[in-house]
Amino acid sequence: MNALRRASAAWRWVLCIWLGEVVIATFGAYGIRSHIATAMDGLAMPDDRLLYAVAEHTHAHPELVVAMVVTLATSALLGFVVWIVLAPLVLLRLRAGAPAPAVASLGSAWLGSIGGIIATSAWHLGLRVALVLGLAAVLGTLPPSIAVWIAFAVVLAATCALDFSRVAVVTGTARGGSPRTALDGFAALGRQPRRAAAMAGLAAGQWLLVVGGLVLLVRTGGESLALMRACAAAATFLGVFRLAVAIDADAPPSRGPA
Amino acid sequence: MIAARLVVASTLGSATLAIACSPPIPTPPPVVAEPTAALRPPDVVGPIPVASRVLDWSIQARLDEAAHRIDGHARVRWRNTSRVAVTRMPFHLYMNAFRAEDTAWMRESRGSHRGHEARDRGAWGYIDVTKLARRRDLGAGREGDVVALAWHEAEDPSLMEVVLDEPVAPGASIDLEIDFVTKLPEVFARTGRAERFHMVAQWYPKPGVLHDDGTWRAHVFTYHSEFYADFGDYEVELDVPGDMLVGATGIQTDVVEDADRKRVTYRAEMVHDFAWAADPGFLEYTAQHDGIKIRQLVLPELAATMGAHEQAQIAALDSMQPRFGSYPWTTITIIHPPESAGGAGGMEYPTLFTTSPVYQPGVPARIIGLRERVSGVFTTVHEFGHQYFQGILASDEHAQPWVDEGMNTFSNALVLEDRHGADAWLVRVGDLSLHTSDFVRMSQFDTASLQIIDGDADAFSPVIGGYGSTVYRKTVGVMMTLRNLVGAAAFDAALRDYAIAWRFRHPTGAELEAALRDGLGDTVVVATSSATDAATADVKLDVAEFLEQGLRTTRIIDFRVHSIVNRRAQGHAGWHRNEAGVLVGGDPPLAEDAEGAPGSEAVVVLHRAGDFVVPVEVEIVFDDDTVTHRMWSGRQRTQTLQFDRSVARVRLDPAGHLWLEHRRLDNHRVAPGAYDDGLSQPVGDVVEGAALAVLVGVGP
Repeated sequence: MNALRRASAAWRWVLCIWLGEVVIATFGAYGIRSHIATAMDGLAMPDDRLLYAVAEHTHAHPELVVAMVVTLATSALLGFVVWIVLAPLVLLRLRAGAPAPAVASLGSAWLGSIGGIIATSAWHLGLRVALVLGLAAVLGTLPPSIAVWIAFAVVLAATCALDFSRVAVVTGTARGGSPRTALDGFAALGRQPRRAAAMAGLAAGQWLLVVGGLVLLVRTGGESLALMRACAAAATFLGVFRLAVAIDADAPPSRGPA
Repeated sequence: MIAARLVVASTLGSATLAIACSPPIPTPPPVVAEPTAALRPPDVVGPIPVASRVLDWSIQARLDEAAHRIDGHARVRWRNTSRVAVTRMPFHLYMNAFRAEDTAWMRESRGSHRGHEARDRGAWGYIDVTKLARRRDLGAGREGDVVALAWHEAEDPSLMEVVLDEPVAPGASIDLEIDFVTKLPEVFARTGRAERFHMVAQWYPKPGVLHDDGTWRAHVFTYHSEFYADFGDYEVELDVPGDMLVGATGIQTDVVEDADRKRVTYRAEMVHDFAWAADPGFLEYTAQHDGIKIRQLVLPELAATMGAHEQAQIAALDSMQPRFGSYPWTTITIIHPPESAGGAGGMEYPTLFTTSPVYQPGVPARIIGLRERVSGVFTTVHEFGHQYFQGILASDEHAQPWVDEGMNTFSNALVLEDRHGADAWLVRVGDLSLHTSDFVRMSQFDTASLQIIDGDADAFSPVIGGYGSTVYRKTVGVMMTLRNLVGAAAFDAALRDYAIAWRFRHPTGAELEAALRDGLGDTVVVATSSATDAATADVKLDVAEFLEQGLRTTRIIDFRVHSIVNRRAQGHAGWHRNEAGVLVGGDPPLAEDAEGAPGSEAVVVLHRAGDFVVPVEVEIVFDDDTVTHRMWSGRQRTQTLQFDRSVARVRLDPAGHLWLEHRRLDNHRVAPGAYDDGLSQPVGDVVEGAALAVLVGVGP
């Protein structure tokens, strides 16, 4: 069963993940909307100059900027934690292919791998911190227009390495608690260059979609939120597709029709 | 491996992109011939007041590049155009501001100017007068011998006083000969040198200005004080290293090359300063517009945006000449200081100014659609504008900096208006814009009530801050608000009359205000912005009162719609006496929806929250979407408006005429009920989108 079919078979999971992301983002932005609406209290923008209105409002209510930063930071933290918990479930579901496995068997398999996933994610976090510190010295000497692309390439590589490590833990071929599992994730980039390239391409596509959607949202002054949500849905699917590519190598024969 | 490949691919892609995006250096076009006269024809220049010709200079200067030193000899003829005899003359020695840490300028600036720092010992600069004498005039063009004169520096070395050996009678003149040595500082504040770039400004002794009543105007050079001087003609010979390209005030009349040196001679007429720049790496770009030679001197790394500066220069000429009279000189030279001499950027001298680089957006800025008109293009418009506001209208920058800096920045807004339409945008991000008025308003967020505009330069301490936002941008707010209220045509005509009347003279703020009052009248009926609603005849603007509040008080303009109340109109239910004096009736009040009920009425309360009294337009939108506009004089603190039908929304200053009002979000109120405030939704949507991007980024 190829990766695209694995990912497509898990469309309900993709939908649930996306809905979860939308709910968290909407909930986070609700506070911002409420804050501004409460402050406006019957008043309305006197013209269509959104940038000036934002400047005037944030000057009068500087706490709004703090609230925005906290919203984004909370989203990042929440997304990070939730995804660590969900990752083995998604990987197990993708590994099973079609038809969907029983909930009970998924649950027991998840319980068996969650500890390892948390551990290997923590090791990867440490490796990323080391990478950032190491790269900062190098990138600081390069022109920003070049440094940003190198940093992006490293982010993609780190993402793919984590995928490989998680797959290894979920499939039981490696122990999550061992730092070697994390290092093997990076080594897999060299061992499976074509697979890694495909995964990196999908990860780049994810970024392209969400950053493109966000840029459009900013440029239009918030008028394209629906498009942004659609981009997020597509990016989420690409993410699941990327995991399916990672798992394809280690997956057992599918129980469903090929 | 794959990571390495990706890194290499990305790097190459990025490098290719960077190369592809690097704007090419334009090939300098053939050099436009140097004009033969410093001034344009007399019918273009207009009348030059005889009394304005006060100083004639002849200067020989030799640059010793290795020693960063200029040896100068100046011969100056000064005319006493006042009503009293003169026995002493104050001179400015501006370069001494950089002589030591305890000069007035350095004490105030603490060695920093517009973000540029005096870095080391090389930052020091000074001017030392080594000889000063009067040359006797024997009449009939014969020169007599010289008489040495005594001079002494004032407590602050930026001033010196010369004691004359005999009085100079009203109408008489005196010839002075001055030898001086100028040590150029490492440039961090307008003047000096960086590597081989030299910006030589305020480099020779300059007399103060003698007013008609016999009082001298000469000031200690302080952080904000800038300059003030009399008009005259200059003949200057500059002896510089042979590989240097020179740009200077006026026209180049001669070049003599001698071994590894060259002597370049410049002539300027009816100017009040002489500055020059030199660098061996300069590329020269010239163009001609309306008979004026535009000359740009730039190092190759900044040459890519020559076209943008040239277009800005042309736009400024095309706007300012019709508005303020012809540009009188035949040349304008634009110097582009290199990055290492950024402190020299953005400064005006007669027929020459320094500009700053045009912002080159990176890939991320281009992706989000960032465009701007606030960097180098605006600098060029602003510094050229000074050719009028201080170059021709030579006000005292120390006594009233707003008369040149503020009025010039106002004229820059008009250049943008003429080029791009009213209230042109200065920054754009995609579909969103920040306009000229937005920048003026934002500058008032923290400083609107800090200091008055009409103060001398020393009233604006760097410790307090707010000099730029008050003197430059608040003046724009005052003038543009007045222009919007009285009508652009009337205001522009009054300002043009001022510019023509005070050409080649020393106008003060009072004279500018008088010209505006004369041109506009003492009071002006203020019209609404609506074509269908007639002007409210009883709402008048008192021009003098407006200028007094705007220039000499810290009052702010701030209006708000306090409330909108829609309610049932009251009818006639109840007991009333009839003609016979008998109480009749007693009917109960009618329900709102009952047949024959009197319907709705609305009460709107407006509030002048600021102390600045000024008329304001009110826009009322009724429930049936009909709209009416009216003017409120703004004299009372509150104004109650009543209507016989429900009001949906009320907006104050709907056309955005009051550029001085920076609190605008309370200008528009909607009747109670569900509504869209216009702000919470788009901001919330952008935050939600960003949160979504973050979640997807850290997610699968």
